[in-house]
Amino acid sequence: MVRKLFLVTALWLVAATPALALSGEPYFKADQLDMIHLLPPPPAPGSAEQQRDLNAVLNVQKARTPQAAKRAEDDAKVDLFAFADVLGPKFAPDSLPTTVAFFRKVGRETGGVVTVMKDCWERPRPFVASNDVHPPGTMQMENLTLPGAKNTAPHDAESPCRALEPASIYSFSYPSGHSTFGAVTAILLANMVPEKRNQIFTRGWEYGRNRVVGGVHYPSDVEAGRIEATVMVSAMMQNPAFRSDFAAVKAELRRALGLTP
Amino acid sequence: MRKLSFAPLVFLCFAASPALALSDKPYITAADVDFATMLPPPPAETSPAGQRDLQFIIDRQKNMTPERMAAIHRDLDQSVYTVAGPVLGAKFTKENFPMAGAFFDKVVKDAGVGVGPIKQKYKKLRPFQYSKDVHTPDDIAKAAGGPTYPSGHSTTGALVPIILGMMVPEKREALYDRGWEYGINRITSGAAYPSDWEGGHITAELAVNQMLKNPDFRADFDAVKAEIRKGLGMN
Repeated sequence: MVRKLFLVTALWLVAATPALALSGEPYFKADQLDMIHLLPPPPAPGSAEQQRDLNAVLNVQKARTPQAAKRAEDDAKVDLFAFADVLGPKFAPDSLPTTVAFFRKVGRETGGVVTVMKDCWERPRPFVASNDVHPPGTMQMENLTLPGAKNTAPHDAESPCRALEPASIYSFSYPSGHSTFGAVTAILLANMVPEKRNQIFTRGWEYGRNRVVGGVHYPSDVEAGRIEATVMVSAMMQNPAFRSDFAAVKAELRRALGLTP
Repeated sequence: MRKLSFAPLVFLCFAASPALALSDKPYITAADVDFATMLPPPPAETSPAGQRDLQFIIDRQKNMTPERMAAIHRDLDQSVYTVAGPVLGAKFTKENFPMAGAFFDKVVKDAGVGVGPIKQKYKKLRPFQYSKDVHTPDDIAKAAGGPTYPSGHSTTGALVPIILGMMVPEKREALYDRGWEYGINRITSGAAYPSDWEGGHITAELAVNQMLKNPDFRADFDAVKAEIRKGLGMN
């Protein structure tokens, strides 16, 4: 009886607390992975592979329906709750404060790596490379960079990065940050809710594909984002601080979704 | 004194049978990376992604040439000499670079912890087994052991440029182009889907990222790098 009462109190405390405190440590350290040396370089300008990549974007554009364009525009927002498509209406921010904070932290750390990779390869977006590529709505201008943004990648002789180019008004194409987000989120959510593993991965992979539909990325950008995402999650999983936060978020999420602990 | 007289002997053994100098422990084990939870499930054949996968093969096969078919057959072999030969040149042979071949065979074999069990987990049919519209030469079909996802050839086609690209950064981009072509040849043969290629590529990246943390791997890597750079006349 006493124990039961205690449990109820504990539950109440959890529910009333806005969010459990996440680890203050980073989820992975830079020396845990060397993305610049792991990830394939994007097709070189003027290469046959670059032409194939661009043709793929143009072919997808030709087949693009208004509904597909709308879906791509919706996915231009980086939104964890896009996964409500597959996790249902209970997957909503109000009941998931720790989950929100956790994915925000994951997004910040993985996003930092993506930016360095983009700045390493300096690949122009498809709509910059070709006047025939027309992103729908505001998708093109969403990729404008802030004035005065600095290149974050090493471009010295030791680095495999391409020679430093003058700053571009659009952020670079390779790899796709949205594709990385979709894949990172899918891998983590699928390991928290394995019952929906297939649907979660399909949704996360669609996030990437919608960037090609929108003409703001090449297929190879999307592919690289998925690879990068997998390597980064794998590295994070080896970190005890990450694993402990992951377990707390998994518990919160499963409770909110009404699933067995 | 004793140490001094011993050293040349060790060196002699090393030079005489270089391949034997590789670590006899695996560079990666199943306990190091949980490939099964990290890799995306392959798309179902009937899903939009699955249909795109199949259509890609059918389109490639429509444009088949005798030269392409010859390249596909050449690329059945998974040795580093076949994968990297077109980039590193005619001198890059087993005779001239014995340690490289043994090393990459071992890398491919050890990375198999991320391939075989995943194939068995999903047991997905090969494209030519699923669709009559895919035409795969009999010898290739017969040699395609096991389920299709992820692609072992594509894993090899990614492992080689990732690792060789670190040894010979001068040729890094060309090695990746070649690795990509190697994977595409496998897809064009009808023995693998593009999503199998993606799965293989992810497996390779995860495996190498892990192997780089293994001191045995790093020691062998350095020895093979020295062999390759010396043999190619690079310093």
